[in-house]
Amino acid sequence: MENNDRLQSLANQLGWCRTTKDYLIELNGKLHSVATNYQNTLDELRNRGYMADLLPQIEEMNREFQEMSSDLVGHIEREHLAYIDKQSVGIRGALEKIMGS
Amino acid sequence: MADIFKIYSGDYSKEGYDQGIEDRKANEPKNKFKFFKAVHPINYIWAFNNAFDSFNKNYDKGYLDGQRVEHNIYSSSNQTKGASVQKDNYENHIRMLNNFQEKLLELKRKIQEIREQYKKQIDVMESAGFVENIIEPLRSKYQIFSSKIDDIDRQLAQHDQKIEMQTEALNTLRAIARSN
Repeated sequence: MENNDRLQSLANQLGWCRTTKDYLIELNGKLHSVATNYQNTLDELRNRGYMADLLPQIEEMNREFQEMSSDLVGHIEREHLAYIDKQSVGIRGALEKIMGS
Repeated sequence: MADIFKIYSGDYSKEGYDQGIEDRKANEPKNKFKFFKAVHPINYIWAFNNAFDSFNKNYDKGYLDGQRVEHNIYSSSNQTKGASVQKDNYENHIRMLNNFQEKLLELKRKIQEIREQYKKQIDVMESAGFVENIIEPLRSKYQIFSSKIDDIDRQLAQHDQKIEMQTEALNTLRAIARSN
């Protein structure tokens, strides 16, 4: 009975790890789309002939934003997704151990 | 001879005008301290007020004319149509900028939303009975994530200010175009 409870709890945790991983992938997709929106808005200004002497400042702003958002996307991949993956492996190992015993 | 007359009269109109044009051309902000470079030492004690006023008034005029040349805004009557086109153009640019600003605000909201959703996700994991040693490191990672979102938020606020400044500059140029 105790093993069954433990098994259930680990299975739940593994399920949540998967959900969180999916969520983080989706979150990175949203961040990517926010950065693309910024770039598109700049392109729109450029294509509609926005003043040439004011445009460089906005281009610089876009560069700053792209840099920061890609840093955040990288942080999520390296720290959060990698962490969840590592936890999933650990939980799966514990599950296999119980099931094998 | 011209210099002697200039020193005698304290008339620095030409120097002021030329300096104004030059600064605008170099895209420098107004700097009337350049008067002290242009003035002859004698004028510190002779006709100083006139020298200072004539330089400054004409510096402004030169700077303004520099802007007009740069943006093709002229005051002669046969160019009314051109000025009108410029005026419309500024309005169009201001509209584009307002639109850009609205989109930035939308991005700002979206970023906050992303942060909130992630926090909720972690809370749900905790209430679902995740062991503490999994949740705690994730919470501290979330703090770093959240501070990065703060940085982006601050950056977007700075961008918003820059857009405000551009809008202000365009409004000034539009007012100049309208007054001609």
